[in-house]
Amino acid sequence: MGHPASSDRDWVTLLSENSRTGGSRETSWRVPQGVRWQFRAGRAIRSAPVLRDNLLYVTEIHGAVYALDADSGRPAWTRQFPDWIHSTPSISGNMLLIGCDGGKVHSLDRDTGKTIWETTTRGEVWSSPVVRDQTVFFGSADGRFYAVELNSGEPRWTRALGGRICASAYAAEKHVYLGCGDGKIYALDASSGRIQWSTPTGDGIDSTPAVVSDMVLIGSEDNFLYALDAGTGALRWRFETGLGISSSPAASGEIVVFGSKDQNVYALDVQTGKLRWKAFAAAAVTSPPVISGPVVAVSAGGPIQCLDAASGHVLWTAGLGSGLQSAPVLAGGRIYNAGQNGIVYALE
Amino acid sequence: MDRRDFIKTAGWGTAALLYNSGVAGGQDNPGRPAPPPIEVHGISPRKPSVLGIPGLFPGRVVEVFQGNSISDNRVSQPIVGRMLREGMKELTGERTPAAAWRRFIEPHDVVGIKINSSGAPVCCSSPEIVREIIAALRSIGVPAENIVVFDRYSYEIELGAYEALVPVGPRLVGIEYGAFDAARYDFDVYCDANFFGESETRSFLAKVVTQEVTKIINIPTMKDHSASGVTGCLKNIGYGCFNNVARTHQQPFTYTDPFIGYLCSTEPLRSKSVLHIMDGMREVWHGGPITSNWEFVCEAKTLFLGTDPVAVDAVELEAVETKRREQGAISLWDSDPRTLTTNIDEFHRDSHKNLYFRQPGHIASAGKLGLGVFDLKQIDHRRLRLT
Repeated sequence: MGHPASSDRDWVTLLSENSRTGGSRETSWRVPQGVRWQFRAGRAIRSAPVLRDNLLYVTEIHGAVYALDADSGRPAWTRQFPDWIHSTPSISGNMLLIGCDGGKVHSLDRDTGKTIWETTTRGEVWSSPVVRDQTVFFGSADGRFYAVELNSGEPRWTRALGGRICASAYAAEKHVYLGCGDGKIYALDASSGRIQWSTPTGDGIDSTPAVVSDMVLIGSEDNFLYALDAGTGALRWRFETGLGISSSPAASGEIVVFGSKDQNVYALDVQTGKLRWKAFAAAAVTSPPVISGPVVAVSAGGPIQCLDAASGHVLWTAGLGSGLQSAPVLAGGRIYNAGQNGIVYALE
Repeated sequence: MDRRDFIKTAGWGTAALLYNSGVAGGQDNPGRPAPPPIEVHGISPRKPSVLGIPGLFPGRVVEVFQGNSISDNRVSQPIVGRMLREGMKELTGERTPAAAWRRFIEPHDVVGIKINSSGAPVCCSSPEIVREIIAALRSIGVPAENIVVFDRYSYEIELGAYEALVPVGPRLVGIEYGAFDAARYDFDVYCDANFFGESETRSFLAKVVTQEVTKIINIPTMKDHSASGVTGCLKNIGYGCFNNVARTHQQPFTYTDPFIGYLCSTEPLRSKSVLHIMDGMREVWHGGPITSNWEFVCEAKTLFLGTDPVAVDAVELEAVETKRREQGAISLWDSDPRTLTTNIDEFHRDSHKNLYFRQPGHIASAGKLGLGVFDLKQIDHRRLRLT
């Protein structure tokens, strides 16, 4: 792994780490006793925050980037971009990587917000950049998947695929796995971009894969969650829900958890795809759930729900405002959440 | 290019019209005060387009049915593609789909496809239909980068997963992400009316309409609406291209009639809206516009095509009213105060409940403004049943 989280107080990308396991480091969770701080960004927030070295990074839909002190919520710095930002940022070393709707990916100095490099695509970059082995991987709505050098942003390779690429990729040692608007799940050679295999689904894909036990787990707008052999792309199992799945699955131990637009959160046995439990969320679930030890936190419609990972029973809810992709950050005994109402909360 | 240059080069001029609502005053509801004066401040073409509402074929509606076009909530793109091609030929009288499309669109046009994503993920403009329309536009020479798929709320577009399901090339534009987000609206084009003493009395038209596209293809869905009775062609471009429109509802009253018609009559929205293709794959007959109750959703397997949004909506209104009658629901015209509830969950569960005195009369009022033909007896309603 290129730059994994440095401690249990860090959360460097969507679902905590590039492994997309959902950050299952905490062994126990207590019900939050209150709000430590809240920060009003002023405009809507769509994406998830990330955290490192006690700085919480939040992007606003209208292009503002905030670095907030995780203890106080006070901005350490702010940067305004001209384009909208749907992308969840990623952290690697001292870099903050952000995709923009104008087609650029920016690398910023984490401490100051100043630009280190930027690179350009011909479509919106909604995906969260993924870093592995000094390479940044990301997809664009221009139908291409990009690999650029971490330190310079110089291109390593580009691969044209058959549809828009809006969701983030999973970078393994030799392969990069991703879903595409053309309905296919791809495995690309990480060093060349060559297509190793592709497996079709019944509709476009807007979900980020997780890889567990040599299986690629990913949702499709065709209503199914797929488990594919990571080496060949062969179908191991699939599970049907009532509507499309853009929520990215989080896997931990024996279960994979994901949301569906049919308003349910599902937990399946990773090996068999058999249903362990499902929980009604009362709104379409498009954001990724987060597994943290014994709990699953998911943002759906309005409140954050914290579910018992073993049973799916609701442990507590908090009406903090949600975003379509704004997964909460559970780190260092706190919960950080940014919502469509433009407010960032820190609970503890 | 600054605003003055734009007006000059495009041959458009500003125009402000103050209506006292005498032309289209809205239907009566028990206790509702008369609609206030409405000021329409648009940018009028110096030479009105014959393609603008009600367009090339006033009063004509083509209804295309195919029994396998949707099954188990999955739309067949090859079948809706054929329905679209046959419907376009029937609407225009042309022998080929390409010739039919050329009646409305030229290769140099910047074409806006106004989807309806407000019911996503249950009922929104089918991506399959959007993809077929994009393919048709491309086939007559419109460059992909000159196609803009747009709707009012970016997060609703995302709920419909259009960002993944629209092909590479066309741009996808959400006009706003949430409340108080007016950056993508044109402050020179608006409708001004004070309905309930609100602090902001203007509704502004989106810049994508005033400054980016030259033609609009409207893709509404087939749904009832808690305030306006049904939502169809008129409401999709009216309430879907202007901001600050929810202020016309205050339980139990709504001024969707006559406001929808005035919004649609505002230039340049009126002149640029050249074709309306209603997605009737799914029909929401109660609980609209945003419902998750599948009990009130059926698969109507139909497309409606026309250039006259009033005529298409009149046919839709009749179809939804008929469905409600079959299902034992109260009429869309019901104005019995005993049906009213302030509990939205109750409304979504019970087809005998209303949140507002609904106003399906907004369609007839739009007809009185010259936007099309409302009288079913005068509508040239053509039915194609494909096998």
